[in-house]
Amino acid sequence: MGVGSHLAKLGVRMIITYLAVIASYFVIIRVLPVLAAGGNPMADPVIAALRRTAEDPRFNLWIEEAMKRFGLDRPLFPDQFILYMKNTLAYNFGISIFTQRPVLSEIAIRLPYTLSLYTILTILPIVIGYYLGIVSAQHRGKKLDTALTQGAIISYIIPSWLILLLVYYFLAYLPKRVWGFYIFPLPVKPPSIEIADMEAFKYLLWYMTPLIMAGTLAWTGPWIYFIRQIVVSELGSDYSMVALAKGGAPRYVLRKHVVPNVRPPLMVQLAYAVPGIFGGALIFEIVGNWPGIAYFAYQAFLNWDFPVMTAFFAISATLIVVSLFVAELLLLLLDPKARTKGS
Amino acid sequence: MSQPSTQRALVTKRRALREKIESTKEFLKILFRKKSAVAGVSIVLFFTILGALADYITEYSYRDTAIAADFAMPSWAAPPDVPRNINFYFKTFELVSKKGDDTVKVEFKQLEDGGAEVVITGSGVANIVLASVEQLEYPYRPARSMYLESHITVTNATESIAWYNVKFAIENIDLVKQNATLEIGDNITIPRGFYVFYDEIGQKIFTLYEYLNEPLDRSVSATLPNPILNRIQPYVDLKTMEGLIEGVNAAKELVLEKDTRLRVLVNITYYCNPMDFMVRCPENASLRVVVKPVHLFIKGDAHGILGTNYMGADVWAQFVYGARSAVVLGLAVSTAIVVLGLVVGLIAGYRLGTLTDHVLTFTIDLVYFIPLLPMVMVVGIVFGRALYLIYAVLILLAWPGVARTVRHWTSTLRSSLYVEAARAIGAGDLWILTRHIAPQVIPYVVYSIVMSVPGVIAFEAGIQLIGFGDPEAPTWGRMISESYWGGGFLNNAWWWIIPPILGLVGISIGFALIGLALDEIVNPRLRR
Repeated sequence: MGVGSHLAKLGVRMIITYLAVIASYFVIIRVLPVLAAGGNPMADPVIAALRRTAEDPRFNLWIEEAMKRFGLDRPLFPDQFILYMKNTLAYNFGISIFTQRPVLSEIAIRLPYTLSLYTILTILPIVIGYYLGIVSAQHRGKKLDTALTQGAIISYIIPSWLILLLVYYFLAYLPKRVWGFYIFPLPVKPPSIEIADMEAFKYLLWYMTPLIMAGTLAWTGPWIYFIRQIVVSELGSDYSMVALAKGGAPRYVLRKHVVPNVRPPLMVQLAYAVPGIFGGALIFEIVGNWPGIAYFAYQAFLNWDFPVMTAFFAISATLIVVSLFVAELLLLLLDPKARTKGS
Repeated sequence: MSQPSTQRALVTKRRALREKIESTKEFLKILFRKKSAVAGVSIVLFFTILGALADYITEYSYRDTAIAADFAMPSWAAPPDVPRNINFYFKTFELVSKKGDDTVKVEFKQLEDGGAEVVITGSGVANIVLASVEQLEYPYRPARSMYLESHITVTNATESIAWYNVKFAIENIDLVKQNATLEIGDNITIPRGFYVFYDEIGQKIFTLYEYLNEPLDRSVSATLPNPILNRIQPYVDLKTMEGLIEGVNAAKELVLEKDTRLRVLVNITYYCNPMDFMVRCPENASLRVVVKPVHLFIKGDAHGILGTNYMGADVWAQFVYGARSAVVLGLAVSTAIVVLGLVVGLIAGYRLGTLTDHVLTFTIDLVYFIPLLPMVMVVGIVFGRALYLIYAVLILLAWPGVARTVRHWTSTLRSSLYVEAARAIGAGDLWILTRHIAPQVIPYVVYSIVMSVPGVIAFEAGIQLIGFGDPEAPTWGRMISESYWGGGFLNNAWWWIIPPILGLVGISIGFALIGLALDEIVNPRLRR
């Protein structure tokens, strides 16, 4: 079996999984509440959300139309299900019940926030973790290594939002109490993503710093640990031993022999981490009052904004499927061992 | 079965047990050789003991609120003049003054079990003041609030009841003696040291007369400052002031003052004039007033080991019960997750390549795609916010990781020699799975249980923080979320913020240290 057929098989499996996942979302956010409501249409959260919106005089004629558009006047199965699958697979999410704007444009509004924060928070931990992991492996068994490993574990164990809470407490609330000024702003007024306006940009940076600090502290640990484990196992492998025995300087062996072997698993891990950028970290965003996509999805769940919920689920699932596929692809491309295993 | 064979079986069983104990001992010996493992075990043990003793080392339940003032500091951190909780009972009363007509007869009697009884007969007008004999020395600076409670019964001693009004007041003897006043703006001053906290006529929205003539049997209670309307009701001659002096904290500004004495007054106004055609009263009318002891509760600004939160609940009690639920629920839920994953993984791995395996693997993939937090929110909105629902969702969605690993291990173990041998002598699938394969996976299972406890605890806390947690759960997560959203950070209530965070971080590190030590023991490769 060659690489091509392996990939084709994987692709088919991914597509089937994707379809099943999208269908399972329908069961969770549409069938489950209807079953829980026990046939009472007033208790159906989508209809409740529509009625809530219709309380606004601008939209009170809108409810019939919306019911028709979502197929809410038709039976759950098969009509609503087919409509849902058709729209979701075509990325035709329609209009948000709550804000009356197209879902995709709503998401586009939040995208700069999400991208600006989580791109930094994905790259920074990897860069720091990469170097600290190698340093830790170099000093294997020494105090520095122990300290770094333990720090990494603590950073992995403690959730990011807790670190953010502590950052806010010690660098915003407490200084205000003790000295009368904020080192970092309270998460009250989120900034606008602007680069042209210098003042706004300064505020943006000021506002983002605690978030980046906390996120980096929380998400660097796993990378340090991950890189360290790989480097340690590679340093202990035969080829490194041979290279060292031949008289290669440890630094040279590390750079020329070990590090190239660290990259493939790192790339695969990175591929797994990328879909997390879209979903973000919900609790982290809520604590930091950061109006990213996760926060938007949170509000959509609170208001049972069915189209937005669907969009959030579908986009996340797509990204996960793509990243899994890419990860597998990377493994095949970068690691010859996996290529032979596939056959 | 013959006798010797059962005995032999017993002996082998005993030997097996002994071997098991020996191996456990050996295991523990290795475990405790590591310093970090000892540290982890002692941290977890500390919180376990704390949680186990929760009922004995806390005075209050984690549910009790208003046991002291809100945001009360820990008493060990507060200066000595910060008010502490004061519970005082004014039991004995004496008749201090009787003004009015001589035709009115007053009989005063001190009741044995505290309280007093006054019987008033005759026609005429009278104003009778009872004062408590007990005086409370108030040693602290003014407290923010206090609570007064008593019970009053008014009946007729003869055939009919006279007209009356009853007022309860708290008096600061020293302030009244000094004629202390408080300026409340616009050159208006009001006397300090006297506060009418209960007035039967004043309770009514609509009154025809200034008296009433019906039996009365009710509890009297007052919280100062009144949470709804903090209006001072000055004594008789200052009546015109009513309505002008809102917004004064009666407890703090008028009554409480450092190093002064407090006592309780009961003022009974009696009116029975047979000639009055408006306020009719027969000749032989009378009044019997029974006053129960007055309970005074001054809410302290310093309280207990860890102070109070925004609702005046005991933080220490919440912390200790939080330790209990962290250990118990953390271990129980992570065990449930890992066991579910273990069962699925064993079956899938053992039946590798069959339809069962395909179905289970597909389920694992599917569950991997269902995001945890949104799912908890959906369940919270549809079914309500309860602790068991949150954990049910967590258990149902968190097992695939373990299942995947166990499946991989089982699939390799399945084709090992000893399993082949067992199968050759006719062992059943269940036997092989439970006796030969599962024990091999046990170290990994224990390791994953220990390592997933921090995640379980932190998950509950995170759910609390986004407002989908059980609002009555005795968890650290609820404390953290309440302190963040309930003003703990703004008021710098460190005694409320730090303990749950410290507890959460501490127990997480404890379990992680144990887990890492276990990892090094089960994976000898990692042993240095």
